[in-house]
Amino acid sequence: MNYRNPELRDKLAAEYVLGTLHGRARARFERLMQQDRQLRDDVADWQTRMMPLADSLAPIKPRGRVWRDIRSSLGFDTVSRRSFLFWRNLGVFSSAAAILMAVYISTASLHTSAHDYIAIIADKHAKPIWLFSSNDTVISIKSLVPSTVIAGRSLELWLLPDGGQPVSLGLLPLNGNKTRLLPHAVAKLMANSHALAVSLEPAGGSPTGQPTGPILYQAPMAASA
Amino acid sequence: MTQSPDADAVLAHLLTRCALKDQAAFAQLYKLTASKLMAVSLRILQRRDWAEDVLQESFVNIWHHAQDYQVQKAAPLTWMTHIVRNRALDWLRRPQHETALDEEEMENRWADPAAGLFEQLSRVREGAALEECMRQIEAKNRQAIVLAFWQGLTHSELAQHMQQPVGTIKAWIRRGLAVIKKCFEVTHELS
Repeated sequence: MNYRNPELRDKLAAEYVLGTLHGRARARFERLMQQDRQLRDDVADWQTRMMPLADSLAPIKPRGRVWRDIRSSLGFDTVSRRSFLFWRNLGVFSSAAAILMAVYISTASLHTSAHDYIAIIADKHAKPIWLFSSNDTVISIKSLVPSTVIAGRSLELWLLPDGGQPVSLGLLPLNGNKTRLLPHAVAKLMANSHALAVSLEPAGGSPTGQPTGPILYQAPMAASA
Repeated sequence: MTQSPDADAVLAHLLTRCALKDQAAFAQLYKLTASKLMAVSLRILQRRDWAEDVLQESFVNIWHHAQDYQVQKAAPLTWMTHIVRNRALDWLRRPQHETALDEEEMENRWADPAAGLFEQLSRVREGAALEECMRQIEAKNRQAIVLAFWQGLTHSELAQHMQQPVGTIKAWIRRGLAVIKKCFEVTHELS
């Protein structure tokens, strides 16, 4: 079948949303959709047209067991234990980190003004990988251990403002240091942010301005002033 | 979808937080949307226990795929509804479930679902546009589309149910969808 024909593509998108595309044709279409942004847009347009049909239904409350089953099948209860362990481990390594930070701040402050915000991005064993610091005008990222990323991908750093959408802080260096100017609009968000995240993105960064790939790391951010 | 732009923004934000594995955001998302999505699941499956199983699978799916949600295209609830419908239709097509409904249930499932739903469409924002477009479709074409949407019937099941050749059913659906598309284009040009 010639999937380049725009009319055929639109017809398939419509039948996919309607539900009449079946079996192997449906599976093939879903695979195509993953690689084809235009096709995803066509599907989204059809969803927007047809979904009011679904919305005219009166809401029906599911029984309480549904939410309990969702939580347990996602392992939330064990995850929260794991995250407790993460923070406990963080406590063990934090004295080392504190020394590292103190040394870093004292040497850095010889050259520049004091940094206002600091974060250490660590792996799941609480081993520090990047040191992030920023003041009102500059972001500085230091790679503490060389990292690798699969070909054709980049690691992107995000600021997570409280109650807002993630804001890109640019790509992470895989080794060495990187310093860049902090846009004024982003600098203003720093005061309301307490965390950073790192996502895996296509080379050069997210095409949408929001994280598109899996989140690989998260780190709390502290004001150092 | 029919949410106000504010509600859309809240759901979009919660989905973004879910992509960052924020469990509290996920709990909030469930609270806000579970009843609406349960209605969709139950409408297709007609059995509460199946509908709840599908709802559970769907939310697990939403948690794992929250990062795929593209804020600039379909509204959040539209995207989530699509996931639930997909799961429910897959569930219906699993062989063991096709035989699980007895004759009477089958009759009920195949009762014309267009009946009550059309009247309700106009109550929802944007539903009015779809209702207007649906009215422009010939009745038999419309029935085929609504049956496919809600009952997840295949072309050949539709053919059997409506007592028409498969080719005719395909043509009816194609024509109906073409009318909807054209109608929406005109509506958008006017607005």
